[in-house]
Amino acid sequence: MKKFARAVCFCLIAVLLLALLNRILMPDTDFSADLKGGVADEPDYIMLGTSNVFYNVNPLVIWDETGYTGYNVSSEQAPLIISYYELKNELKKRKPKTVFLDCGAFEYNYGIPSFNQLSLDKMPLNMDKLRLISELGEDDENNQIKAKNEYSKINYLIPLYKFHERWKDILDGTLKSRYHDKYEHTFMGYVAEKSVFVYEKQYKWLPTLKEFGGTYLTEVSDLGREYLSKIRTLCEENGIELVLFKTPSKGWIREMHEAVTELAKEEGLSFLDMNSEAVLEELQIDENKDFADSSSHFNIYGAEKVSRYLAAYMKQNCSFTDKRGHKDPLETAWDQMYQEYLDYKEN
Amino acid sequence: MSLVSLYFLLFLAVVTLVYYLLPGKVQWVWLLLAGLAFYALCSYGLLIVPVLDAVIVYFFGKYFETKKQKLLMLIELILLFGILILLKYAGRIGAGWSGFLKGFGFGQIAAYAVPIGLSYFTIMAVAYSVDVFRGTVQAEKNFARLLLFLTFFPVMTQGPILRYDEVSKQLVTPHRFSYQNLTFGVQRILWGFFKKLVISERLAVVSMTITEGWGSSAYSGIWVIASFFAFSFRLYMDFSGCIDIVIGTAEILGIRLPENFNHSYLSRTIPEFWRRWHITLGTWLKDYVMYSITMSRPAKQFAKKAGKKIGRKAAATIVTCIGILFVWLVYALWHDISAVFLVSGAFYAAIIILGTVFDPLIKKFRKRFASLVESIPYKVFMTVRTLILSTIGAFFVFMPTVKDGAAYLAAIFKAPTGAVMQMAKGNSSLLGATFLGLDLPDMIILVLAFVFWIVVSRLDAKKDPRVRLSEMNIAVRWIILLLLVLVVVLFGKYGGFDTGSFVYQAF
Amino acid sequence: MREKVLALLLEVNEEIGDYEGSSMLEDEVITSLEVIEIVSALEDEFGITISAKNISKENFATVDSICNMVESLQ
Repeated sequence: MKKFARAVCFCLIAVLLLALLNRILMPDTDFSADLKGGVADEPDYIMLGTSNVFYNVNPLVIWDETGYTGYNVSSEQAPLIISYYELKNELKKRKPKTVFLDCGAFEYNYGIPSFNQLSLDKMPLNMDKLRLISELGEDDENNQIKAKNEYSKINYLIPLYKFHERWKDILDGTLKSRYHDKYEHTFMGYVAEKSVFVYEKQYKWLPTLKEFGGTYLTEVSDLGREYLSKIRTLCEENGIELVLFKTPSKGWIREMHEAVTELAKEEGLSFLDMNSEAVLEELQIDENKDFADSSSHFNIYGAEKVSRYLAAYMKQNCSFTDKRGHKDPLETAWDQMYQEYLDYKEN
Repeated sequence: MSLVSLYFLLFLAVVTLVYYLLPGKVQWVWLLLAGLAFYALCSYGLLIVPVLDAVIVYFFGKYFETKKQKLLMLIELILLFGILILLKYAGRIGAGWSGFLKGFGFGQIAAYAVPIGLSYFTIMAVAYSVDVFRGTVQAEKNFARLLLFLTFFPVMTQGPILRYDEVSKQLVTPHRFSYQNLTFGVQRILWGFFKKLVISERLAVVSMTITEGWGSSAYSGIWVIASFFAFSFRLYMDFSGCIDIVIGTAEILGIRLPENFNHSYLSRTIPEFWRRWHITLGTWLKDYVMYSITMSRPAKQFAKKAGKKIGRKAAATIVTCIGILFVWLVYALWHDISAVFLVSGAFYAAIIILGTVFDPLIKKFRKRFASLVESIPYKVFMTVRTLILSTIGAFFVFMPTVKDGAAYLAAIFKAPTGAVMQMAKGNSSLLGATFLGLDLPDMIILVLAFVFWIVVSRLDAKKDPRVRLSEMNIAVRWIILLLLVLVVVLFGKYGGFDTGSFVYQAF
Repeated sequence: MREKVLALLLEVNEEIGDYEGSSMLEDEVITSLEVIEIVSALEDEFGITISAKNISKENFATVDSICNMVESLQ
């Protein structure tokens, strides 16, 4: 018996050591540090979705335009199932008045495992996470994004499994930045990218699948449908308004635009597609200046245009209150953050 | 399910827990179920194959108990090897086997058409049958127990090749839980993980960098020789590491399996190498191929007749050489019907035949120059020579074609030009540089791990390191073990996108 | 009989006389070539038949074990 107690003790120490290692080696992909000091404790909105959110929507520009507060909750290529659980986690901490849901993820089901890994690593280990891990599957061949490798779920459950090799990063001092270098300058979950990318070929906005080429879904993915209604229910239960939107993207085809419009009608939700001619007219996107990369992610200039438009949309359609003009700590903090952003932009 | 995976460890934990909770009488049934489940998890529907083998050897064995007919023995061998050949090679001939399976709606199975461990359980079944036929083993009356012998899960993927008389009793007798078996077994498994994940996977990068780079002149000459060492130690760590996991697993369950390696890299001759490397295959080949041929009636008649004319020694030499040829033919065919394996088999056969033919001369030489033969430089020379020769043979089988293998060997005689060390772009620090495909931190880990392995291996020769460990102060013991766990977890090459599978698993 | 067997063995390999261990086959005192020589000599001398199943490390462990084998086959 004494030997057993010893063996158990040994295993406990080993597990604790490994948990510690896990914590040390896990890359930092979390933007929630942006929210320090309670600057967004009563947010007007949360922008939920994929990289199209964190590259394209700048909450500080919206602040500057309207005095509304909010932030982005988004992960690279996050499928709706992940967005759902991200929102669920977020609502335990803060409740916005409106959730803006980016529709990019309607184009696929489960997306790319290695990106999903980044999303899951941010989540605390709880029952929700375990449920998410057990539910996460892989896309089949017909989907836009095909996972190239069979991805072991062990990676989701024990990030150390994947990240153990990062011990090397201790040596060259990049332990905390390796998976983060792209996201070095973040503001309320917005990733400010300065680089400029110019498309070699001229792409049409809202092309039909035939014009765009390739094999992509022309219907909202099954998982998208399923989890949209779950997100909707979650929002209703919390008295939150849900708005669908899509930032301008060269890969967004006309069939998807129509499918989502249809879906929004079915669900009784508003859908703001910024790829429509009318919106693009107003945005005045400069194809030689505003893109950051070939995936229709905007740099700071493009993102400002998108964010201003969203600000105007909120003014018109949402009943948020302008929090400026009180000279309170909240206003000072946001103004200061906006200034920091401007400083970054100028340098 | 690879033996080097968390899934396997989980599987083992569940099997062990239930095993020791069950009454001793039914433990073996649980082992059988575990074996079948393990097999089903690895090979989908192909569980039918080992079951079929078991059915064949069961009924033939029962028959041989009373009557021994050579023709029936032959038919049984044809059946067993027929299944092996059909499954292993039919897929290669056109769309053959997998097309056949798909035609019957087994598309899913077709992709996994070669059942894992096929080669292993086939020759285990053959050994059992021959033993029953020869009368050295009694035929098993309980089919399930025979099936357990063929599907004992630790040995399914890579051996060792079991003999019925060595393990069958152990498999079915009750085993009481023993704390020492558990700790020693776990430690042996941990050691296997260390060899496989920390050392072998790094050596794999080194040897692959050189073999893939031999077309470029940078990796010629001395680097080809270097790759031999990297390759042969990689193979050793990989294979023996796996066997450590297998033997450790069985040890946890209270079952002692035969060792499959005995520091083969220290061998001074090729025959010695084959007695210390993949031991259970070597003894199998000797007992069931070599002696079956040299002790057969025609062989003995030939030896007697020819002996009168050319002398007994010469006649025996001829018979032995024929036996050796068959051994290596079977060796090659058992692995894979391909030119590279035939060349590899022929290579070993040639060396061993030369050794046999010139044995009298060698013996004279050893007597005449006894002091030289006993000197350390000579021993080192022989060891290194054997290491290189044995590697060339093993090496060939991992070349895509014989021509590639030959070209690679020819590169030994080219002077290397160009750098084998690459600096990272825009980074002059040593941290970013790679040497033989490994960066500096990995290289340091490889060297340290290798040194640690040598130290432990040297200890092993005198006294089991696990016994030493158990005699240490608990704090020291725990620190050593925890460090080893951390080293395997942290410095093991696994996870990410491609966990290396065992080199030897395909056979 | 032991003397006869020993004489035959020594004819094949002189080292057998000096061997003091307990496992000649495993210790490689007798090679597989010598096994054939020994078997054919024993068969001729004692009129027995030695088959593959008799070639075990137990039977070829010492001079005495070889004698026992021969006796049992007679």
